[in-house]
Amino acid sequence: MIENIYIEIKQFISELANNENQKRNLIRNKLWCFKARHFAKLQTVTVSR
Amino acid sequence: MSQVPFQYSLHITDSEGTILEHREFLARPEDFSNPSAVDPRLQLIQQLREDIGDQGSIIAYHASFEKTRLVDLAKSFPNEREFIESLLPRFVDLLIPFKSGWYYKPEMGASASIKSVLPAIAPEFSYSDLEIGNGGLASNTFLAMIQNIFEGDRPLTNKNLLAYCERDTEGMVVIYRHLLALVNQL
Repeated sequence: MIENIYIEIKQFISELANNENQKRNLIRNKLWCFKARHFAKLQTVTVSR
Repeated sequence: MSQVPFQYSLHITDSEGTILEHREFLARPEDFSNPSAVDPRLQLIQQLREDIGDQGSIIAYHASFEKTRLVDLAKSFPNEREFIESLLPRFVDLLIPFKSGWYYKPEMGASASIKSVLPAIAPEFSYSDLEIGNGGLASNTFLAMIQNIFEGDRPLTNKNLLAYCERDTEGMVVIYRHLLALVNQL
């Protein structure tokens, strides 16, 4: 069910906000209001010890 | 065998997914074999401390990999352990909605890999214009530079490495915005 998919995405987003401990902001702006996000990636090289 | 971080890309966005800043780090290959140089991994940690701040989600795709690398760094540099461990609870894994099957398009081909998800939701987003367009090539290229068997143009290759890693985190921002748009349709 497509509705279920959306609900689960909403839950995922809520978990993001909870992770930021910004619940008050979440309530105020419904879904999206926590501090800047950092989209991060480490690039690695495989080496022999 | 071990996985040694030599580079990172960091896109910092606001709550709407608008990119505010991009930060990056790329080690100097020669520092890996120069005993008088500051360990490149420590350089990475020190710059990361400046770039990532002390609050805000850290969104990664397949976060367990990133977290494991950070834990490895904490073991190697006990003085940095407190900072590194402070990062771990901030991680959020952008892989979860796709790995869990919460959102799926046939174009993903039953794969939750970012290389499958990204073109499925943003066909216009591409790596095809990059000289270095995948992680394996990035890793092998840098390894050749460390081993001093690389024969290409180093300054240009540095730019290519930075461009690839930047594209990867930019891709995560695109995925995030896509999820945001879905939720806003409700």
